[in-house]
Amino acid sequence: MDTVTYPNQSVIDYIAKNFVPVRYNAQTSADAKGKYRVLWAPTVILLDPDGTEYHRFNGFLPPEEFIPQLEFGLGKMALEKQDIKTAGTQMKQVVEKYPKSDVAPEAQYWVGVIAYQLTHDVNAEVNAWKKIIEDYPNSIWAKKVSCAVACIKE
Amino acid sequence: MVRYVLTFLVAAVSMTPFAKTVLADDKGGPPAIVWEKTLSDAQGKAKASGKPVLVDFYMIA
Repeated sequence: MDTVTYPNQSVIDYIAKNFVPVRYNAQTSADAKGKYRVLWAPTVILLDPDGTEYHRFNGFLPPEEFIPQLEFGLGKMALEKQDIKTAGTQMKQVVEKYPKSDVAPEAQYWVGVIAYQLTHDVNAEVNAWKKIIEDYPNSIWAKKVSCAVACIKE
Repeated sequence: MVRYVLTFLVAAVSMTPFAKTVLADDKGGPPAIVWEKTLSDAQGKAKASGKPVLVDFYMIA
């Protein structure tokens, strides 16, 4: 991360714009590591200002995957805080701005969930999920929505 | 008029070393993320700015 991702100018700018960053050496910071149940490094955790965790991911990610993960995390934070409109905007941005990222199909899944929460129309959800099957047919998320999409068709 | 031009030139020449210093400072090191030192520092700034906190756990190989 220190040789590829964190020196990347887009990553530097994205973090400066959206987060307050702090870092701990997992080998020497037993208290913080224990508090956040960190098993291995690198681990990135997103917290709200009160310290509540909303998203985490493990392992190295290059900039083109790291930034979408952070944007996805902001969407999850908004969703779990019941700020549904912001969550919808964030998740759509992940799919539209980073359609080739590995997190895009999961973001599209939540676009469907949020569409239902906003409209209570199951077709809105299924239409969003159909896009996963069309655009990301080999993703685990295509499998997760396959039954629902097939059942609603019938 | 000549006096004004000379005054300007003297001022410009005398400021050259300072200008070099400023330019060198602007170059500085490579751009980098500004990490907070502790979680409580980060949470304090997060509360003030409304931004979430990103915590990075790393290891030195």
